[in-house]
Parts: sequence; structure tokens; C-alpha cells
Amino acid sequence: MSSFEFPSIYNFPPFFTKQPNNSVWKSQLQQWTTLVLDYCKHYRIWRLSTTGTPIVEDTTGVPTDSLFTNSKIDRHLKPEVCQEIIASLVDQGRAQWIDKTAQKSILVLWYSISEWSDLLLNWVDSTGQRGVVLTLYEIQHGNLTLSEEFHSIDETTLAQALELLEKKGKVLMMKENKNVVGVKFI
Amino acid sequence: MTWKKVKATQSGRPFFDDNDEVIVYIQDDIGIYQDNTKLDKFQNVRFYLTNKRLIFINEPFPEENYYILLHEIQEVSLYQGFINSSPKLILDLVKAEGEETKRMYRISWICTICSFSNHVQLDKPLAKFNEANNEIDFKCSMCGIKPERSILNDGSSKADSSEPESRPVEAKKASKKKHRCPQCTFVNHPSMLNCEMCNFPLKDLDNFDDSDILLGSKDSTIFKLSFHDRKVQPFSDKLQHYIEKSQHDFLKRFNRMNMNVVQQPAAPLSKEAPKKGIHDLENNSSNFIDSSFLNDSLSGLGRLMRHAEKLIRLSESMKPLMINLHQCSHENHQLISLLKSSKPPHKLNNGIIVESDTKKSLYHKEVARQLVEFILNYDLVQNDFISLCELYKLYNKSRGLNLLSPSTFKLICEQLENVNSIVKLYQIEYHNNNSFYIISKTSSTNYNLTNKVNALLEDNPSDLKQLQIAMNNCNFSILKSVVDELCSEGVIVLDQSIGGNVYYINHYF
Repeated sequence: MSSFEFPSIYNFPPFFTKQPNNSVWKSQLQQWTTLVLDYCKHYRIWRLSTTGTPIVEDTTGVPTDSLFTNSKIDRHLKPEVCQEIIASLVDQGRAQWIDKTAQKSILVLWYSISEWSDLLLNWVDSTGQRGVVLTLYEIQHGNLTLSEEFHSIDETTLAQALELLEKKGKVLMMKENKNVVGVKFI
Repeated sequence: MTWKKVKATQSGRPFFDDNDEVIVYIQDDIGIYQDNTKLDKFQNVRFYLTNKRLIFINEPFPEENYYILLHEIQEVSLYQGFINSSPKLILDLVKAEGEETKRMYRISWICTICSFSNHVQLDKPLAKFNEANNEIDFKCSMCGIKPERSILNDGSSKADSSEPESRPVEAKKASKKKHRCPQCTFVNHPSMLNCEMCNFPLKDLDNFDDSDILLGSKDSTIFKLSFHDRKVQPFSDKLQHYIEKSQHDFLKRFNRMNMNVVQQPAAPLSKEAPKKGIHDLENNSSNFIDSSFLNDSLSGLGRLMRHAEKLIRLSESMKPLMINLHQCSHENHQLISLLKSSKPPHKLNNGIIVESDTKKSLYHKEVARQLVEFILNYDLVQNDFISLCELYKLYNKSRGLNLLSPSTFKLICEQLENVNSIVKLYQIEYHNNNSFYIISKTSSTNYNLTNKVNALLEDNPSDLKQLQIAMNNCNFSILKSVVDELCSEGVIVLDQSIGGNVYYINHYF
């Protein structure tokens, strides 16, 4: 996987300090959240800890360093500023707390849940799989989804997207012992 | 005796040659008349009365400042004014003692017989001598032969033309003297304005014509000073007092005291035996009565003495209070001379200006004038600016006595720009409606600290210390508040790290 190309602001030292001016800070925060989303999208990071390190099972090609530390210019964000950026992501709906009380890590939603569900629906339509029963594993890791953006999608995210589709009546859940094993797009 | 030119400083105060000279009183808005002629040039001048001279500064014509020595004023009389005419002080100057009229004419001629070069001095031009009257009886001092008239004529014209030749030598001497510092005697380079060694201002005023200058016509010695603001009394009182004093000093200096006094012959002693004294008492039968009377009066005196002692004790207890009440000019002079003999780090030109009965605005302006000199003399604005607090501290330290209050000082600083266009008081505002004051050169037009900080950071992101060095070591607290202000405005951004705070221009946010 090609490495992520950081914007030039990432090498600007004041980017790593919370600016005293409020409007400047707002703009700074906006740049940080965009950066986090772009970064996660690039490396397909679904889960991110509040310290900025990705939580992944398969670490090939994914940097293990924190996103909030720039060793090149020897700067890093203070923990409370990291927390603020993450919280801001959650507020904007671009992330969800994995554990709401602990607030240690987030699900990064570079697409929102409804966007994901639209993507799924489009894929089913374009591949003519309507009415076909698909396992969750097939959607996540199947050969047919290799070129799709939701390939290797996080389980929780996928479940939420499917739930939304079910509510709209576009999909039928097949459950076994309350675990969803397969779906059928209607 | 006439008015002589005096040099003024940049801020329009007279330059004093003499360290003992102290300003006693200042009065502005005065018009000068000679006899009854209004001198148009001098209708709004400011008078400085010092203990030695009466000086006036003519602001509309900066080259036309004059002074007169006090002992040259013969008489002062006061005209109180009537309806539209302002009160006037009439000065009668001492008449010139015919000094200028006696000019000697030098003639040098070469004897035709023995070729000896003779020099003769005459009290009038040669042409005025009448040959027929045999007024000229020059003889060659070598051979005793009379010269012919034509030779003399040649000689006189030569002498006149040769006169300028002798001048360069004198001029050279004078110039060398001029470059010598009057304070430490160091001979400075001619181009120096202040002494290289002690920073004493070298006087380029010697360049200028120090010869007598008449204000108006030549003959009259009566000058009238018209007081447009009608407050003539305090000035007149002070002037009278100091004229008397300086005339006394003048006479004393030249040993002319009691010069024209004729000693009265003492009254001859009478040859008769004294009627009073011990001799007489012995003869007097009323001795006893006298002694009892004497006793009475002695006991009375004793009582009086006890009362007097009480009074003295009372006055002693009141003394501190009285001293505070009467900060009279006399005491001030003593203190000033004491201050002069001590060595403060910065010295004030022309002593300390004391608020007496002069007008308040005049007093403020005058101190502002001195302040300009003070700032320029010690180059306090070399770092582009000085904060009001720093200047206040330095100035009061140099004053040493009669210290100014901060509020008065601020009023004075506000006058700076009115007095002289060199320095000005600027108010710099920053967040929370706070502001501070700096004094800076007016020439750096639209002086703007923030612009400067911006420009510096544009070239090179730096921390406060580097900024301070880049800005000629300016006041740190002012710089800090300016930078903080910029930072909170979002114009510049902050980078906090272990290495310290570095400021950048905000290009990204």
C-alpha cells in the first residue's frame, strides 16, 4: 500500500499546538479532523485509539505510529488536544465511540452509515445479486468485493449499515441464535 | 549695551554656557517695543529669566533669539496697563560706553632713506588729517626723516588690505578651541556634535555671530515688554530682585564696590569730659535710683527671655511643617547646586524647572521641552521607543528633587508633540481595553510595533528573545504584550515545544 501523503501543514510546527485564538483553533480543528479521516481512509483504518494509533489485526502496510506525532519535525499533540480532536470527530458524526463510557477508541466513519448502506445497495444492484443470500463474510472479505471500498469493512459498521437498510425494508436479515449470518437484498 | 544672540536647543530652550545659571522664571506671550515702536518680529516671544540673564526665545523666527545680561539693565519700571493696552515692563538699558566708536587705524610705511618699516597707529583715517595744520609729524624711528604724504597713503591702503591676512591664524586658534570639550578638555574632531569622551554637547554656537545686534534703531535704550496675558507682577518682582542681585555681583567681581563713594569725614570728638559712663556715675548722686530701676528692668528682661524660649520651642516644633509649606526658590537653588555637585547618571540641561506661579500649561510645555533635550541628549529613543514608565523613572532620577507625579508626567508627555516634532507619545492598545504608552520618534511615521513584529516573523519564525534582539533590545514586556495580542488575534501562531515558544505568521489557518 502506498504511504499516505501528508498535507504541508503537517510539517508546520504550530499545527501541533492548540492556538489561543478561537477562530484559528476552529480552523485548526477542522484541518485535523479532515486529516484524520483522509489518513484512515487511505490506510483503511476502521478503529482508531484516542492517542492516534490505528487498531488493526492485520498490520501489513499500516503504520503503527500515532498519527498525532510527527517525528520528522519532532512535534506531537498534547493528549488533551488529541481527545478534543477525537471528540470533535464524534460530534460531527464522522466517528463513534466504541465504548461510550471509557472513550478510549473510536470507529472512524470516513463515510457515514447511510453512505455505506447506499454503497452496499449500489454494489448489489450493479452485480445483479438482488434476491441472492449473502453471508457477512462474503461482503467483508469475498473476492467480489475486493475492488469495493467496503472490502474488509468493520463488523460493527457493516451491522449498522445493514440495520439501516433493514429499517428501510431493502434487506432481509437471516439470523441464527440472534446472530446475523446472512442477508438477502430485496 | 545691547541684546546679543543666544542659541536655542532643538526644543526651543536657550543654551546655557554656565553651570551656575538657573532658570528663575518663565513667561510667554510677550511683545517687545522699542521706545514706542512695535517690533513686529518680536510680538509673541517667551522670556526666560535666569539668575544672570534675561533671555527671549522667538519661536516664529528660530534664529532670532536674544539675551541681555541682567546687570546691563539700568532700571525697570512698571506700567500697569489701561483698558486695551496690556501692562508693560519698561527696561532702561545701560548706555554703551562709546566702546564701538574708537577704532584704531594702523599705518605702516617704509622709510625711503633707510628702508626701515615703521608702524603707526592713528585714531582717525589718514585722509582726515590736514597736512597744512602739520598734524602729522611722523618721523622714521631709525633715521628721523619725515615721510612724504604719498608714501603714507600707500602704507595705509596696504595696511588695510593686509588686515585679513592676519585673520586665518586667529581663526585656526579659535577653531581648535571650539573643538575642545568644555567639560573634559578632550579635543574632538570638528564633525562631532557631542564630546566623544563625555558626551557633553559641543557648541557649534560659536560659529555664529556673537556680535552685538540691535533689535531696532540704534540710539534708544528703552525697551518695553508688553504682557499679553496681563500677569505682570510676579515677573516684574523677580526681575527687579535678580537685577539688583546681579548688579551687586557684577560690581563685586570687578572690585568696583563703593567706587564712587566719598568718605564723610568723621565728626570731630569733643574735647570736654564725658557726661555719661562710669566717670560720670561716680559723680552722680542719683546712682541708687538708677540701680533699682536697672534691677527692675533686668527681671522684666528675664521674664521676656522665658517667653521667648517658649516661642522658640514652639517654632522648632512647627519647623518641619513650615519647610514643607515654603518651598521657596531660594531653598531650591541651594538644593539644585547640591544636586549639580553630585553625580547622577544622566544630567539635565539647564537645571530643574520648578512649578512656581507660572501658568500650568506653560510649565508643562517647558518641562516637555526639557524632556525632549533629555531624550535626545542621552539618545533614549535609539531603540525606536522608550516606554513611559522607563522615561518617567530616568527623568525623575535625574531631577533628584521636586519629583513629578505620574499624572503630571503624562500631561507633560502629551505636550511633547506640540513642543517639538522630534518625539511623540503613542498609545498602544491591546486586549481587555488595556493600553500602554511609548515615546518614539515622530520621523518613523505611523510607528507600528505590530507591523514590525509581523515583518520580522515573516522573514523568520522566532521566539521572543530573538525578536527582542532583532528589535534592538526593546522593552521585553511591551514586546510580549504585542506578541500576545497578535497571537490572540490569530495573526501569528504559536508553537509550544520543549525548546520554548516559537511564533509563526499564520499562513494556514
